[in-house]
Amino acid sequence: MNTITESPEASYVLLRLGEQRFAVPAEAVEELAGGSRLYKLPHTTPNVEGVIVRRKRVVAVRDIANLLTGRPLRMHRFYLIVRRRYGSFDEPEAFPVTGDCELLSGVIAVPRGEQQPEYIAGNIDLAGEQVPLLDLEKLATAVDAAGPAGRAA
Amino acid sequence: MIRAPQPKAKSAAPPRQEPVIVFVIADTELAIPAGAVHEIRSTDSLAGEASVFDQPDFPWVRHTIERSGATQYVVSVGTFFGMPRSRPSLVLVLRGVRYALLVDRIERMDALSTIYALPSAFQGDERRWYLGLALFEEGVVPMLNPQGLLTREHLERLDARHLAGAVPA
Repeated sequence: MNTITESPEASYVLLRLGEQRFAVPAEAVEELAGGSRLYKLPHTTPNVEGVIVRRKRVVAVRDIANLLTGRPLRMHRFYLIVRRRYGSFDEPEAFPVTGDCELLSGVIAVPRGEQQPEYIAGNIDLAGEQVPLLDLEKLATAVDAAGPAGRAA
Repeated sequence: MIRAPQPKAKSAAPPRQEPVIVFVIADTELAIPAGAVHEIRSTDSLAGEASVFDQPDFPWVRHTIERSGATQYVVSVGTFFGMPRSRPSLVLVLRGVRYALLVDRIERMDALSTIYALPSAFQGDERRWYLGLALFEEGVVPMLNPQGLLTREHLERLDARHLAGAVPA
């Protein structure tokens, strides 16, 4: 993904994880879903919480809050459903978020700072607040590598 | 003009329904294709046939049973998956594999025409454990792969331990 150089004035969805805000490219976002029941199943993949059902599709739920903010979210939350690339096909994936999402258009992202991790593709300046722009593929890889596993054999 | 009779369009065949058994372990529902289950026995009825298997590195196998001259390992599915302790009361004896499944109870029989693929986000052993996910009115239930729970390596190690000496029950 090269959001910044290819499309400096793209649209972004601003999501909130607790008190912190992050941005993702709008073209990767399908919907913000609320009220979906989380189904847990035995598995060994780190930071995948389970699945939800949206529009007769089974969608994996991946916890990104632990990596990005250092703490899990509260129980009552929404799911930001994004498109993830797996080989030659796309699949939806749900990120639990606090709930307030905004669409930003016409804003310019600037390159990430040297100290920022690779899953930050850049930053968006919102009235002086630097909001990190997430690279979803690199973020998922980092989440996989970071956290504890689910229920394991 | 006379037209030759057109062949009747074949009506779409209804999707094949696969019977499944939904069982419960520690309040978690799991399913398995009914065709994979040879027999359902109560743990009480197996008491006379089972031998104790006590190996600390295989805490999820506590018993073996001998069937048709072969040893079958009774796998506590709850322990295997790291679920909370429960009270298993049934053994699902499977066809074509060398293990049986210890479960709490049968919840229901059902029929499915569609099993959803496990989302690609799941990258661990669960890709071997499950055939996919079943979507019932009541919710999502993982469909166990009857041949995927234990690997060949598991069985070779279990056999080695078993040959080293299981204690009769």
